[in-house]
Amino acid sequence: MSYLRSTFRILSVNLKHNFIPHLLIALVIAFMTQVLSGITALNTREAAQPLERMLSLTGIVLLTPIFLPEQNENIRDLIRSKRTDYLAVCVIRLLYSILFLAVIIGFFTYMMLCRESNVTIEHFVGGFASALFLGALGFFFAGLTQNTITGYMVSAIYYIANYSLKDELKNFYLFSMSAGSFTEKYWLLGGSVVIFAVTFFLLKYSRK
Amino acid sequence: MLFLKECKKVLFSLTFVIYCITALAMYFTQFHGDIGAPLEAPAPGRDDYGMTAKEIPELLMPEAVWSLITEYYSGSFTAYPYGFIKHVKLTEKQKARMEEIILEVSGLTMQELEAHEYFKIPEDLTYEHFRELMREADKIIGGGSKYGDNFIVGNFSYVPKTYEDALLEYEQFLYEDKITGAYARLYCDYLGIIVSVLPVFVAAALANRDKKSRMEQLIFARKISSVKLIFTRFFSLTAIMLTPVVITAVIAQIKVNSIYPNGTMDSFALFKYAAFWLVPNIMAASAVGMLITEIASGLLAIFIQGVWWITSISAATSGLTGRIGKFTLIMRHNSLMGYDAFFDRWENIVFNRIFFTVVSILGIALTAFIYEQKRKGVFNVLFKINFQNSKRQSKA
Amino acid sequence: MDNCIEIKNVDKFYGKKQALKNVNLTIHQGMFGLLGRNGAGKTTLMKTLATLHAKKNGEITVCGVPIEHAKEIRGMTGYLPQDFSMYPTMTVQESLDYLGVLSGMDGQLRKERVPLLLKRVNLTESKHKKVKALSGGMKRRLGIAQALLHDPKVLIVDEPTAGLDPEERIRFRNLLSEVAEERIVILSTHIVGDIEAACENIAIMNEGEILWQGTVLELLHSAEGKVFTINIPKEYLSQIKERYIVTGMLAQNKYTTVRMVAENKPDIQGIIPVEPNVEDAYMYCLYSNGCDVSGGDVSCCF
Repeated sequence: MSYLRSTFRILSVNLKHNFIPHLLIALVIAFMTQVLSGITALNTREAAQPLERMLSLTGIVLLTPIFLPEQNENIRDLIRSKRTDYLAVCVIRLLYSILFLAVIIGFFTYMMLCRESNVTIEHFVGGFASALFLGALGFFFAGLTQNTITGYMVSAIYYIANYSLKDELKNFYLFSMSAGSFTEKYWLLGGSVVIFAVTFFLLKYSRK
Repeated sequence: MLFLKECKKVLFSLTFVIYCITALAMYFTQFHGDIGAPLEAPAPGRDDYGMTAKEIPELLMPEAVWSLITEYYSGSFTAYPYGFIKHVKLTEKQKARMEEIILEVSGLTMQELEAHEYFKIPEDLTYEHFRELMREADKIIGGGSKYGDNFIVGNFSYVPKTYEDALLEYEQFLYEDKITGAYARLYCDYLGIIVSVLPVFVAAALANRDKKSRMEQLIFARKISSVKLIFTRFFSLTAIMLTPVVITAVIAQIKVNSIYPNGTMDSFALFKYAAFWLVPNIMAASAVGMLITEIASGLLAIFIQGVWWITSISAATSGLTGRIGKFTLIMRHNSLMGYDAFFDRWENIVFNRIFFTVVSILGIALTAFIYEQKRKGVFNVLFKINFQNSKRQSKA
Repeated sequence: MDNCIEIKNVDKFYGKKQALKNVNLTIHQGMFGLLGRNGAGKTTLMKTLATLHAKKNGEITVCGVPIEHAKEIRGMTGYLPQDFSMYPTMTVQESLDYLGVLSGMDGQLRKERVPLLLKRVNLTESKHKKVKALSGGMKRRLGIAQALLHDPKVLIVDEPTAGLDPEERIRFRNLLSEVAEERIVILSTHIVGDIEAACENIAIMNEGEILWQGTVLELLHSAEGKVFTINIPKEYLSQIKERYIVTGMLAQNKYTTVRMVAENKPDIQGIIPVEPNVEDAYMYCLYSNGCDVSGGDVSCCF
């Protein structure tokens, strides 16, 4: 019980102090997506476009800065010197960030549904998968280099690469749904899980 | 020397290494591999030389009107106002005005149109007035539709190229562009995608590094003027960021030389184009990185440049050649041909590149000003997401 | 369970550079001072004790618990890093509470301890201030409060007085002495005055090695008869500095009183032996162990 309570306390403190600016930027992206690109009366393929090409960026914004609060080495040392495992705190952050990501994309998909776009649950899963994978890349590089900007940079480059390297990226192509294929999404989801696991593993066992 | 020291700092930063790898990858996967064979002169007597957009009113008007009527009946208009597809539905008021436009350009009311299967362009409708009406229709739809100035010719008026057209283009390629000019445009088209955004990461990471290594307070106390420091940083950043460009330009020049062993070429075309086309992009992205990181945070700088990049690149995806406006961030020209299309917009292009250069330098001047205010301790950060949370107390 | 920290044959590398060389130490209850120059390996040793660094080989036990049991060690250790900082948007109280959560304290305990610690470090009135608005001294006090929050058996403080003004420094030393009555406190510093004021037992580190270990009295004793003072005209100062280890100077008009350390009494007219202070003894220790101490490693003047 007290374990649950302290988890909840860690969750709420981090939401308050380490999350809001990133959430705001994600919401701005979601808002911009529906301004830049229509979400009204789109057919199945067209509806995938705003989800894959724009909204997926919220993944970078939400998942890359998981390690940011402790990028200052002094804070990191302080937090790590406490009894609670630092990585456990990161897991909590990652989980709520993913949850918010799902909520944002889910709500956006629902909005499209309300505006008579031809969206299904696949659109939600597909958009989420692309966002999650981009975020996972940022998370991985930010965690490994202890430098959040590197994380943003690498995931942004991967995003850019998707504009011209469709054939080379094969199963990890982010915009597949706009081209009518869904199988890539399973790879992206699976890949993300692997990346998260590898990141935590490396961080746990590569201590100086 | 400060300039060299700053250069070294950029050179050994991780973000710069990533930037280099990306630029090289872009060059080799997109440009280098695709230019293997020389362009052949068009052979006479073929059936097909491709299509070309040509403004022919007799062709354009009925096609456009037919499309307008069809879209009107389908209930929604397809448009790409920011490069992304949008299906626009009109309000009753807008519908009424659209009906009037259709009446003017087809000579038929809605009831008549439903009864008839065909229409004729009224004889007293001039082409100029027609284009004006189309412009209005585009405005009603919200811009980015097929009927606006940018898209109408390409959408409704294209003709097969003749042998003469194809030959003319080829001759321009040989003699006007001296071969390398055409390749230089293609090269800049690809590299421009990268250098118009990635420098912001390098600049932001560098500006952060001072805070991370707790240098800020130390530098603040030094004698050097803010203007000198910030401008030196900016120019060293720009200079170092040019290195992958210079390297790939040399490789590209050699490659093009090897493809056309006997051609008369401009040996410096690639460098000229790169300096003129890419440097302003590097400067703009670096300036955004430095300015916004100084005012607020690196994250915001990246976000702003990212948004700018995406809107610009999306606007360009619907036409990869030629369409370069006065304020287009990323100039696209994804073709070895299209000499005319490019130089038709030459004034825009010159204005565009000078504009970005000047604005970048102004941005850096502003950065120096803000930096100076911070030094005096009178500037408070507006919106901060800290990459580095502590300011160290100065050690005794 | 024995109330001491045992460090046996510990090595630590950063890449190829050896940061700790065969370190052996036993630290008992009370205040223990780790003295050494910047870069001597003090911070590395302290971070190793705080389980932030893994050692290469050797053995460390804290109150009988091997250092590898990180969670247990962290539960009974309080650590104050060299430059303490916390999420800048948090208030003082929030910071303490959150760090308490991370230390595994339950809500009831935190409710009791947080106000207590705030009072103890004199931050009660500033408890709603944000961390970024704190002065250097206040930040340091918050740092010590968080380190003591879960009532640890061991307190590790890295360079706690660097950057504090003299008044703050004295208050801080006093606070540490109080705290040390009931636990092990390890304090690292390059400021000799800290040691003098507060520590009974000390160790001197240089280039990753423990050069000397014992009580302050023993250290002073070891330098007896090795410290001299002389009044010389200013123009001879550079010559003296070249030849001997100068631990202090006091300028008066044309003359300067020089305090110096030497193995044997230098053959200079007017030189008199004096009682060593900790500073002299420290310099003598470095010198007698063959460390390069020429070139102004004098950390303060008398």
